[in-house]
Parts: sequence; structure tokens; C-alpha cells
Amino acid sequence: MRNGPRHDPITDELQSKIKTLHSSIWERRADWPEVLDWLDQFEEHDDPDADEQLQALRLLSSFMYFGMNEIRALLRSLFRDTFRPQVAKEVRSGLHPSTALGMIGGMVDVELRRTRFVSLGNPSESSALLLYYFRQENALPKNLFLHGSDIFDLSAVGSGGGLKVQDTDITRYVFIDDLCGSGDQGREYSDRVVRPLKSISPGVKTYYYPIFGLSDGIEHLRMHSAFDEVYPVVELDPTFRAFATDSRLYVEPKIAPLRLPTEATCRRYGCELVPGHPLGWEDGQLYIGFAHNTPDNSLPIFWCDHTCPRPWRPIFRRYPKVSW
Amino acid sequence: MSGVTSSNPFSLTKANDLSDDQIQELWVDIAPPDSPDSLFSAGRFASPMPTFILGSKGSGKTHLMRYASFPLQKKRFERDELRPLAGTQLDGYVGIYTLCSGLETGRFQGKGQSDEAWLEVFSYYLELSLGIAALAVIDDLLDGDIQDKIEPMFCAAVDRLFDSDPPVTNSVAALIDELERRKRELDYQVNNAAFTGELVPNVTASRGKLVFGIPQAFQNCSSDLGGFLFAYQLDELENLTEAQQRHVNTLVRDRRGPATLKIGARQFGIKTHATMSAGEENIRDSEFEELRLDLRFRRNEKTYRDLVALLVERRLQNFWPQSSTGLAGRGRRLTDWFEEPKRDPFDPFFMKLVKGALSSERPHMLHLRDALESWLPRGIVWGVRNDEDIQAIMNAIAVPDAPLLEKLNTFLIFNAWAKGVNLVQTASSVRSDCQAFVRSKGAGRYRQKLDHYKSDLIAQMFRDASFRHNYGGLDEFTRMSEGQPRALITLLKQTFDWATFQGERPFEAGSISLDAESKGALAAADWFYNNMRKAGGEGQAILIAVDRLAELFRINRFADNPIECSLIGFSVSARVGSKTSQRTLRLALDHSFLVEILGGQSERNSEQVTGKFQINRMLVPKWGLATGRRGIKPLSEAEMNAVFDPEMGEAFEKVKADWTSRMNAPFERARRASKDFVNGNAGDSQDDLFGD
Amino acid sequence: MTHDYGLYLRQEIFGARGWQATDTYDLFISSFNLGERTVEVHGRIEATEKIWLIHQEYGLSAAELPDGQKFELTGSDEAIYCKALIDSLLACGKLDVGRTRLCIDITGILRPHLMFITLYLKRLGVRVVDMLYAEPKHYALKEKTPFSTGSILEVRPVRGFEGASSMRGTEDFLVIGMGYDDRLLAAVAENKDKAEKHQVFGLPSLRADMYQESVLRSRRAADELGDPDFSETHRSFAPANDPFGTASVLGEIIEQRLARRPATSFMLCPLGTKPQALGFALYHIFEGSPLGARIVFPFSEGYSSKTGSDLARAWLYRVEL
Repeated sequence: MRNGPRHDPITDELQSKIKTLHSSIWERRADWPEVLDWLDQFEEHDDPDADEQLQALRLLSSFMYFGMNEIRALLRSLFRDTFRPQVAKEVRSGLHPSTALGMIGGMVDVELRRTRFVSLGNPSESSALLLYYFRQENALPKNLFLHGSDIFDLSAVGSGGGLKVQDTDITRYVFIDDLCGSGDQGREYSDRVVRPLKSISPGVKTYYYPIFGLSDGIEHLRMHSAFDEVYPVVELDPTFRAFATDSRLYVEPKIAPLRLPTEATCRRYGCELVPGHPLGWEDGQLYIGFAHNTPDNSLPIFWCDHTCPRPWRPIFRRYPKVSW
Repeated sequence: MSGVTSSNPFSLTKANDLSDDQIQELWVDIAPPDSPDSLFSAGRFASPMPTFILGSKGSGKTHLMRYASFPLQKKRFERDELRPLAGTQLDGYVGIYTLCSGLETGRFQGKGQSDEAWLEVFSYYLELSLGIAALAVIDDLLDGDIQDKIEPMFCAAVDRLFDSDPPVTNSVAALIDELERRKRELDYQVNNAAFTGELVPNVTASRGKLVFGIPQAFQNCSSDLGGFLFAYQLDELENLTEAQQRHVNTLVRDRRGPATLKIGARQFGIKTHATMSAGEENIRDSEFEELRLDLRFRRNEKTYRDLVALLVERRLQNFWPQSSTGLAGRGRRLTDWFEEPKRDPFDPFFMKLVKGALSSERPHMLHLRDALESWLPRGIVWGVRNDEDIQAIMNAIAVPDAPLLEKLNTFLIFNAWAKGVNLVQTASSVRSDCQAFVRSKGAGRYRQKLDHYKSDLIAQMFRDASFRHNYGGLDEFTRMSEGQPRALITLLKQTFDWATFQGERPFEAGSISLDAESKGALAAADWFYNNMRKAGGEGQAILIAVDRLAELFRINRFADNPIECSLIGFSVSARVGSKTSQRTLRLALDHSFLVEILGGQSERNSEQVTGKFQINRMLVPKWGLATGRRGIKPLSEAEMNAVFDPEMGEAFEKVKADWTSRMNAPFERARRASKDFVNGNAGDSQDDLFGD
Repeated sequence: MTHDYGLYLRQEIFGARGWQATDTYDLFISSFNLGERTVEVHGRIEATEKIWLIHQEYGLSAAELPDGQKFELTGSDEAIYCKALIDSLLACGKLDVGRTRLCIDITGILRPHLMFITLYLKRLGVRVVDMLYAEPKHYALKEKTPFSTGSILEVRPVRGFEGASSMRGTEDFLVIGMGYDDRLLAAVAENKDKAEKHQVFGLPSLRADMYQESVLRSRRAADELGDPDFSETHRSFAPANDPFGTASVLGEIIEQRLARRPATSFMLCPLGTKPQALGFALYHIFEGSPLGARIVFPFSEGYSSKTGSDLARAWLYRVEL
């Protein structure tokens, strides 16, 4: 890293922030030698504003990492604060206002037993992993969990019968995902599974809950999918795109001028790292990562590794070596 | 290493984060407990006279008090196989520790009740709390056969202490339960007053009845139960209001029987020594003694250094078995684990500092030449007539192989300039002195100047090279902690964290780098500085004053001709300064941002009583100042006000300009120009570099 | 098993989908500050009577005060202020505990006052009150936003929530709802030096980056917290915009602690969002009080009258007492 009277104060401030993050939320990832190693891939410059290493360091200091504890907390919140109260609300809307809470509790439990939690058909690890932790955190019985393919009973289809559901007792299907980006994947799932489901069981309610959801993708699903309820636990509005004009990262007047140069830097390297998506999948421009994975909507400079078209050293790798 | 938590042996810095076991384990004293030199004896826990144990945050006050308290005494009794009563009699006291904040006195106000009513509630609450604490201890002391004989007699005696509603029990446990019940009832009433607007507590015991009565009742039961004091340790008295403190002072004054009070507080936390009786005030050494923990260590540097060494070794003992290299390196001295800043002028580090440049290209040489050339036309460069003279000077003072000496030489030229001495002649004598030193490395005036000004010289060279100033070495850290053990632990904790973060292996392999130490020192300085953020307006005034003082000291440190070397201290006459300035100064002292320089109170040239103070060395990394104090700058009244009165921003700018022009080429006598401003500035010294 | 807060109604009334229809009320109360959120909600809600609460701690000048009915009482603590407010509403008939449909916007209200009002309403026999909260899009200077101002006067129990100190035992345990203001955090942590501290962070946070920011801020008080390593055992998470989830989490924390150390004396300190402070109050009302727990708070001279920017989302919580 370049030293100098103009560089040092910036480096010191950012290094200090990263040290705090490293020893707290980041679960001791990215210690300084690793950070230096990563920064080494960028160019230095006499003008601190044009110094790519400082630009990258600044981006890194804002990286939002959600570790295992945090992911578990979000999964717990999903059930305790979103889904279950939603069921309670639906139950109560059909009851007299003076019904005792104790009774309502019992009825909600009955409804919950007729609910199934489904992984979003994506065979990758994260979805199944999330449901596993979801079940653990909320102490839910195993029989409430399904794979998407178990929703339907296909036995009669070939022989002239129609599509049926496996279990007609089930009134609610809850789909849990880790990240909803553009909503395309959710939309596709809705078309493949939810629409047919609702066509044969119109009374059934379907809920789509991504842990993280981009506002645009959520909006898209609310307008164009068959899910009855779409709700992200953590919503990422457009200001969470690193280089959007109203980006959260460049709100402070002194830092605002760095937005475009930093974008140019990321794009330059990004074009070599992920040629079609230099700033992340579908121009995501995110700076977010999870314990189990870094989504490809995040800027490639964070997660690309030696397998990318230009071999790279990541700082928050996409697939961790150690498995949980 | 990523993903692995390395445990920092210094991570727990506060006494209250330590369990009882840890307090016992980590306790270090400079002498055995029964020696009068020990810290422990200083607490005077076995003496009947009440003691105020005063200390700043991190002075070790709580640690001392907890170490002396009953739970810890019991541990020691078990270790020594003594029964509680026997052990207590051997110790001469039993320590009953209570934290004032545990009383939650913030409840005893407002809600539409009068101050008198609240004071009565406080008094009763304190009686019950301390009474319960004493009874709990007695419960432990009465074990085995004495219990059956004594208990009923004792409980009956306690009954008689009450003004009304005696509890009527015959076991200590039941007595405690009953008093707890009364306390809870009081809690309930106090809480409810917010809703009902009413408060009618049933006060069954008035001031002192239980606090002093219970110990007396106990010892009256049998002569076998005597021989020790009940020492109520009331900690954090600063949390009580003035009225509440007066109540406690009354207990101090009315102390009787086998009971006493040992009161812990921050030094600024004692609001009054007055009692509830009009006109009666407790006097030090008459009604109470005072132990100033901070001063104790600051007065005796060697004692403190020894304590520090013990402290650090104790912490490391727990750390080393865990590390993967185990015993490796344990044969080293403690100080070897820390990299030291370079001080030897012949160390190759100084060549690196000037980036290997030739003498004529080095920043300090260029700076001097520049100054000489700029001011030559004005005829104020003594003894220098033309460029050849300048060149002669530059040649004379050049020391290619030892940039630090060369730097010193430039200093000597500037100093001569400031005094109006012929510079060409000066350069010549500097050259010979320097060469003599290089040959013999012996003592002499050149060596003396080097030693005095080394710190400032090096700081300037660092700045010229755009290097961050460094702090390091256990000795330097010990000095910086200003006699506060917790400050030292914090320095070490931060340093360890930084070292680990940067991939080093502190206390396992090698020495902790200067880089990590400097960053640790800066982090510790920030921690200390940020303590003031809680104090609002007052805190702001302190921060402004200290910032201004530091700015002035920096002007000195980086000047062509500093007035004092390693300047971090100042002196000021006792009665000068506006009310505001005096108040800010006092506050800064109370909160340990400034510390008093001990040893000698009177100023050398005048008969006025003068105070000497310095910036707390924990803070100096923030401004790159020195940690070894040498010179002290007397401040005039005007200068003092400009620094310590937050409103005097403009005046302060003038002081800065004044200092800057006096200490930098061409050394204009700015003093003449701003004579009205710097009024009666006695003893303003331009320290003669060739004098003593 | 603890109180089931999961059955209580919480509803998003403003978000990406705009404003939802809300009930009409007889009485609407909101605390005024200079952020636009409170003003917008005040305009939106339909109520027969609307009253602005003025807090002197915000340091508002006469020119900055809003139009309409106002209540203020200088030099009063939270008990005197709120009691005067509620008693006067009862006296003039604007509040009838059995019948009034009451709505309170808690966005701008000071935490101690919020908690006291809730407790007082319960004691008076009010069965249900709708409370609203408006989330900001972001705080002005991210993790450097100042919140409290002036001196910290004292750390003391909130009136009405003083608990009983000796009910359980001598082991002090302090549960802190973590927020952005590390000044207040350090003051409380230092005042309760001897207590073991448990940190409850706002997660899910109001906006995705606020969790990380609150952690960064809180690390500045790591020393006072006695938590050098950001330990897992001393940390829990509660939703920043949900009082009911918060109350649930508190219940779990305390239940777990009691199982391990029955002789614990509990203290709670809500330094997080207003909904979390409401959650602390509800927990105390339903479960904490019988345990002798107390709620402490670092009372500051003043508070910043504008911290958050525009309205991102608004919530309704139906508090059933």
C-alpha cells in the first residue's frame, strides 16, 4: 500500500474499521495480511482519489457480511415475527375480537401443523441448508418439511387422471430462499409449481420468503407471480447497489466524488473476471456475503477466484473451503 | 490467522469483569499483605478510622476493595484451612462490599415528593441494605457449635435495635428474610409513588441503628466473637447526591463500636465532607483518612514499574500454556517481547529515514539552507554575508553517516541564530564538538544536547519522511500509563489485538512490532480521550483545552528552535486565570486528562506558589508528542485563559502565532509586538543549548 | 412457557405499496420533532382529536412548533409529564379507558415516556391501543450520526419500572437493547460496571446495513461492556421494527439465564429503536415485573430533533394490554 501524508489518514481510518469488523461480525475473516494480499491485485496511485487500492479498501470496509449467527437469527425472525404472526392474523380475522389469546394460540398451532415448508427447488446447498437451520432455530418437527417434488401426486397423470396434491390437508406452503435478485428464479418457480398447485387447490395459500430480497425483484414477484405473499426478511432497496446515483456508500459529500472512479475500477477488473457481468450477476453491484456463500450479485472483485477467466484472489470467497 | 480466536491475555481490563477467582489469582502487590509498604495495608481495612479510597478509573481502587472483601477473604481462609471466624480475627476485619449504584438511588427523587422525604427513604434503605449485608456475613461466621449457642441471643439483641416493629426471629436466615421483605416493600412503595403521588414508608430503624448496632450486638454475645472490625466498603460514592453523601458523612462522623467505613470514589466524586448537622464538617486525618491511589504510584516510579512487571507476568502465565509454542522463548526478559524505538544515532534505521539521500539533499539540510538563503537579504542572519558562508556552514555540519547527528547540528545552528550569535563560528565549533563525539562517543556537552533533544529531533525527522511517529517498548508504555494499572493493561490489550490482526504472533514468536505498538498506543489514546464524550458540555471544555495545549506543544516540538525539549508540561501560578479557566483546569485534572507533576511546588524565580501539570501521557500519541517529559513551559495568565477558556478561540490563535514566530526562523521577537497581550510573562526562557 | 407475543397483530401500513387503509380513531397522539416522518403520519391518520406532544429535550424553538393541539410540561420527568397528560385527557373526557379508540405514533416519543405511558394505560385498564412507527430511509451520517446531546445526567430506573432489587439475588445481569448511540451505551455499561452484560442487537435491522453499523458503534464501548471478543454467549438478536418479537427474545434470554443462575437480579436497558423500547416495556409489564426486574436508562440533557431522513416504511402494532 502506498504511504504518504494524504494516503495515511485514509488507510488508517479504513484499516481500523476493518479491524473492528474482522474481530466482530466478520467472524475473524479478512485479517490484514489477507487484505493486503487482495489489495495487491489493484494499482496504487499518487493521488489517493485515483488510488485503486484505497478505492477497493473503502468498498471492503462497507462490505455487509452476515455470519452464521446472523443468518440463524434471520431464520428465527422469519418464523417468529413474520410467518407465524401472519397465520395468527389470518386466524383472528375469522374470529370474534374478544376471543382469548390462549384459544387463538391453540388454533394457530393447528394451522401450523397443516403448513409445509419447501425448499425452492434449487439443488444447490444453500436452500436445503437454510431450511435445516430454519427447522432447528424454530424447533419445528421434521414432518413439516418437503421437497418441491413432493407437493404433487403424479401417479394418476400418465393414465388419464389429473394432477393431484399429495396431501389435501395442507393449507399453506411456505417457500424459503436465500437471495431474491431480479425475481426471475422465483417467477419461474411460481409458473412451474405454484400456478399448477393453485389451479387444483385454489384454497391453498402460498408464501415466498427470501432472506434477502432486492426491492425490484420483490416487486416483480408481487405483480407477476402466483405467490399469495412475498416478503423478504431483509430488503435491499436500489440504494444498496454500490454505484447507483443514490448509493448508500457515497452519501457523504467528501466521499461522493469517488463513486464514478470506483465504479470504473470495478468494471475494469470485472470485465476480465466475469465478462458478461462485470459488476455482478444482472448488474447487481452488491457488497454482501453470507457465512455459507457470497452471492454472485455481489461485485466480482470480492469473490472471484482462480477458476475465473482471469485468476483472482478473493477476499470473501464464494464457496468456503470449510463446510459447516 | 483467519477464523481462529486468539485469546488476548490482556483482554479483561476492569476489575469488575473479573470473577472472584480471577481477582485472587491476578492480584499483585509490591510487598506482602502484612507489610506496611503493601498496597493492601494502604487500604487500612483493619483500622477503625474511616478511609476514603480515591482513585481515577483504572487506578486499581475497585480491585483493591474487592480483594479485601469477604468473598475473597473466604477464599484465602479456605486455602489456609482457617474457619471463617478464626480467619477474620486474624485479618482483623471483615470486608462488607456494597456498590452504591446497586442501591439505585436514582429512584429516590421527584414523583412529587419532598427532598426530606426522599432523604428519609434513602437513610432507611441504606440501613436495611448494609444491615442485610452484615447479617449475611454473620451467618457465615456463625458456623458449627457457636451457631446454636449464639444465634438466638444475637437475634434477640438485633430485635432491640429497631425503633418500631421488631422482626422477632431466632435465626439469622429468618432475620435476613424479614429485612429483605421490608426492603422489597419499600421498593414497591417507591415505585408506586410515580402513579399514586403518595409515599408513606414505615421506617422501623433510623440512621446508624443497624449499621453500627448489628456489629456491636454480635460481639456483645460473647468475648470469643471479638477482635475484629466490620468494615463496610461502600464503593462508587460519586453516584450519590450531595444530600446523600452528607448522610454518609454523618455515619462517618458517628462511627462507633466494632464497625467502620471504607469508602471508594473517584477523586472528583466526593461532593462534600459536610454532615447533616449544620456547621459540622469531617476533617481529614481527624474524622477520616484519605488514600490517593493515583498519587501513590506516580510518586514512586520504581514501585510502579515493579508492579507493572508483576502484573504483566501474571497475565502471561495464563497465556503461555495455551500457545502452540509453549515454553519457547520463556527465557527472555519481559522487555524483549517488545520492539523498541531506535535511539542510537548510529543505527542504520536513520539512513532509511532519510531514504539514503546525500547530506545536501536531506530534508533538514534543505530546510536550513532554505531559511538561511531566504533571510540573508534582510541581514538578520548573524555572521553570514553571502552564499559562500552558507555553503561553509552546510559543509561544516554535514554528517553523512549519522543523519541524526546532522539533524542535531542544524538545531544547534538555529539555536545560535535565535540567540544572535555568529553562525559561521558556531558551525565551526559544532563541527569539532560533533567529530569529538563521533570518535569517543563519550559524555560532554554535545552528548548532553543530543540526549535532551533526541525525542524532538527524531519526531521531526519522522515527519519529514512522512513516517508515522512510533511508540513502543514496555518502559515507554509503563511511563505512558501514569501510574494507572488499567491504562497499562489497555495499552497492552490494544497492542496485542493490532499485532494479531496484522499477522504477528505476540508473546509467541519474535517481538511485537513498533507498528503494532504504535497503533495500539493510538487506539488506547482514543479510548482514553473518548471517555469524555459522555460528559457533555464540561467534557467538551476539557477536550478543547487539551487539544489547544497539545497544539502549542506541537508547535514547540516541530519548531526550528524549540523553547523546551520533550515538552508536555506547563506551569502556572496558583491564582491566575479567569474562573472559567481555573474550573476547566480543575476538571481536566479530576478526569486525569492532565496530571500534576509531583515533587516541588515553587517556581524557581518567584515566590508565588505555582502548579505544574502535564498532559496525561496516555493521550500523547494523538498528537505525536513525547512520552519522556523534560522541559516545562510557564504559561502567562493570558496564555492560560486562551487555552482553558473555550470561548477564547481568537485569543488562542494569537498565542499560536506568537509561539510559532518565536520558535522559527528568523526568530522575530514577536514578543515585543504582542507585548500587551503576553502580559507579565515572567521567566519566559529560551533554553540556552550551551548552558545548563 | 412465556407470554405468546406472536399472536399480536403487526402490520405494514406504508411501504413499497404505498399507504394502506387504516382505522379511524377517537384520539391520536404523536411526539413532534423536525423529521418529516412524524408530520407525514400525523397528516395521514384520521382521528377526531389529534395532540402533539412537545419534549423540551428536543430544544425546539417557538417558531419550530407545529400547529394544532399541543401538550408540553417543562422541567418534568417522564412520570410527571405522562401522568399530567393522561390525567388531563381523562378529566376532559377525551380519553375513556373503556371506549376510546386510541392511537399513538411512537416515532418521536422519548423512550422513558413511551414506556411510562404504556404502563400507565395498562394500570388504568385500557385494553388495546394501536401504536405506529415510521422507519427512516437511513440515518444522516450513517454510523457517525449523533443522537443524544449535552451531558448525560444520570443512569436511573425509568419511573414505574423500578422493580425490586433484592427479589432474586445479588448477581446483576444487564440486558441492553443495542442502538447507535455509543455515548449512552458507554454511560449505562460503566454505571452498571459490575453487572454481566448481554447485548441484544437489532436484527433484522431497519435497513440492511444498520446492523453492521450498530455493531461498529457498539465496539467503541467494548471495554465498558466487558466484551473484548464480541462473544456469542453475550449476544442475542431481536427485530428492530417489532416490539412483540423483541419481548419474546427478552423472555428467552431471561428464562435461559434463570435456569443457569437462579440468583440473578435483572436490569433491562432499551437503547435501540422505539419499537424495541416498546417491546422492553411490554416484556416488563407481562413477565419482568414479577421477577423484580428493573428498566434503567441513561437520561441525557437533550436529543437531536432530526436524525432520520424520509419515511421508508410505517408499521402498526396492536398492543393488547
